[in-house]
Amino acid sequence: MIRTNDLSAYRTLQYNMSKTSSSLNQLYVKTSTGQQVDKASDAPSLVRTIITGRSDIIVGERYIENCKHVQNSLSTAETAIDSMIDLLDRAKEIAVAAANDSLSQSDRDSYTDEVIQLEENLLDLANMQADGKYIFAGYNDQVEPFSGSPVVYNGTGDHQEIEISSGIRVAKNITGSELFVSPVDIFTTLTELKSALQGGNTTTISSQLTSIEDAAEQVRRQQNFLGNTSARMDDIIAVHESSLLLVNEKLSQAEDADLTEVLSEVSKLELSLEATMQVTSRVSSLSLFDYL
Amino acid sequence: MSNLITALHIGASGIYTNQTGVQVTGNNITNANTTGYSKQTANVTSSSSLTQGGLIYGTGSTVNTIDRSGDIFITKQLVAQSAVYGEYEASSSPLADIEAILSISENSLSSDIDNFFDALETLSTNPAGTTERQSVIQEAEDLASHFQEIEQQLGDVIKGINSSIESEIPELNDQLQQIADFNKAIMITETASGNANTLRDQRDLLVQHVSETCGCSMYSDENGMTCLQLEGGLPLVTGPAASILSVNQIDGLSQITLSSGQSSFTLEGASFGGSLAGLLSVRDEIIPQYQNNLDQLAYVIATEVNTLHATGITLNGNAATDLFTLTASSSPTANAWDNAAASITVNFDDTSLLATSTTGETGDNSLTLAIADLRDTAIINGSTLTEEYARIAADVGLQVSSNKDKLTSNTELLNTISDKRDSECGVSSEEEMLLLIQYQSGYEAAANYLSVIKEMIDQIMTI
Repeated sequence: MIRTNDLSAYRTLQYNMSKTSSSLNQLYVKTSTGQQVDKASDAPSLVRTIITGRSDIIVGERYIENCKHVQNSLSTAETAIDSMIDLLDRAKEIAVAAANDSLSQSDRDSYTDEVIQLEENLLDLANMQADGKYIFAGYNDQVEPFSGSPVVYNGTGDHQEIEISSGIRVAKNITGSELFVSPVDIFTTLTELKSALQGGNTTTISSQLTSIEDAAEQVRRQQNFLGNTSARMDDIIAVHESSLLLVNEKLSQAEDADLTEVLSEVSKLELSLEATMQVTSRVSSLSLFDYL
Repeated sequence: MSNLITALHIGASGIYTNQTGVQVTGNNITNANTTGYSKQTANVTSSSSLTQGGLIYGTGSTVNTIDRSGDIFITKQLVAQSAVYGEYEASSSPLADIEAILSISENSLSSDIDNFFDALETLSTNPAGTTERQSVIQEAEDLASHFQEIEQQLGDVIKGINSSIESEIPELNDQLQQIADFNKAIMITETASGNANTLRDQRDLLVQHVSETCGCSMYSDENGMTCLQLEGGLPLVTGPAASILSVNQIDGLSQITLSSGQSSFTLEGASFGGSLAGLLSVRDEIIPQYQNNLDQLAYVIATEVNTLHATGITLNGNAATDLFTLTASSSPTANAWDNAAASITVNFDDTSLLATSTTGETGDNSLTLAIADLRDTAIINGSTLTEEYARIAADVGLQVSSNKDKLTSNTELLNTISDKRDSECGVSSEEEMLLLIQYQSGYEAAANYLSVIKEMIDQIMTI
């Protein structure tokens, strides 16, 4: 027969009571913080999910920022390009109009003046600045990229790349050389148009149309590139946004307390604590002493 | 007549026996809540008989001995289980400290790593920007100082463990000396008369305390003295002599030495059980392992970033220096990464010294991109930097939760054994009440018997 006595009864009750109340306390903390996993020991297997999840959120949000940064940067270039297309259209109109034999040289001279104006506009566009930096200068973005007569390119042929997704980079700039110089040097095109107008030979003037058209083509290619890149950024932003949603959800599953579950656990433990307390008060109420 | 006088003595023995019984029961009842007390029983035997006229007469009863309940097997179980309990109990507090230091909160080291690389990503969008450069240097400083802070805090945990050990030792010495003294006292008492029940209870309790502190096994020598030794066999108490433990600091760590007679031994964690084993294993195995992990992490971050950064050209057109500086450990046997977490600092706070490129051109962000790529590269033990931190933090979590589980199950086991001991040796008030009634009625019967004898003697005297 196992003899039981008050000492072991009290020991058991005390142990269970402190165990229940400490579990209960942990649940209270979970309810108030809303967090299931507060310390690594709460769920060691979820630690990696939580830490890499938080990291993924920072990275994902940065990639979205970077995509928007690329779009902003390219849209500044796009305004310049739009103006260039207008400018080249006007040059083409001038070449077509001036190739007319019935035009007098003084008419052609006023066209020449306009072309000189266009050259200046083109130079302004080529040296366009945003946020204190020359946008068509490659890496050398704090030095005026186009200067001199004839105009030469002083920038570099580099693309400033931005990471928009793990291991994927896109150029946020168009270099002055690919837009203005190579393969068609638009400054030369205008200069040649200007000298053709000054020379007054209609055949020479109309022969300029081809190189103006080539120049316009070169600019449109870059415009297409900008449009495509910008659209691609929208796609990539959408991809990042949906993966951020997933990561957030996963993180919340790992980290956040399921309040319904916690609360039902709380009421279960409270009941058990109450029962333990009631039993404790009765331990010594039944005694042989009462009958002596 | 002579027979009636003998009968008087027999009645008196009944009175004495029951009185003693009541006394023993009273002692049991009053000690029902005394820790370590073992129930005592009056061992009643019948007195030696007399031969008279060819008949053998009994001469009443006597309390031969007052016995103490006890089970050496349960006592040994308690001693062994106390050691296991003590080990997990002692390591739980420093482990919880380590868990808080290597936390998984939003301000953990991994967020500093994330923020550093995020600042680099931002810099890559505006490589010449002073604000962006400033923010990279700031985040690098935060990262470096977090490493140092963790190192400092782990050092504080070690100091805390040292002072726990230092405060355990004097008490342990005191307990060992008391056990040795009890050994002597018990022998003297028991050689003179009867059982030294109370002294034995106190000695058993002390042995249990000693085992909880340092883990020990017990045996009785030929004189019935309790001898204690450490798991490895080194003597703690040998009969009436106690060994002396002393602590001194070597390289910032409290080192325990045991002196027994003329010889002394330096003790490692493995020599002990109980709370000393728990504390020493956290201090000598667990913390150094995490320090090593963090050193590697700091070393890899610093050297990988430096290797790339040093290939760069600053905005001034000069060759770039290291971004982080480390001071290598002076020990010739040290690993390359030792001391990295404690010594990592940022080399400069002048934003123009930060290189974003290998050309020095203002718009060139290629080097920054390359450094930022380290974030996604498996550069440490086959993992990325944050994954490595997650591994370390998860490992701490596992240690803590496994220690917690072991502590719970061993506390329950200790309770079970204590219950078993109480069932065997503890005082049950109900039982004692029954004995009290028994002795009371025995006393009453003996008294009645005496009055009958008295009447008989009176009758004879009046003849």
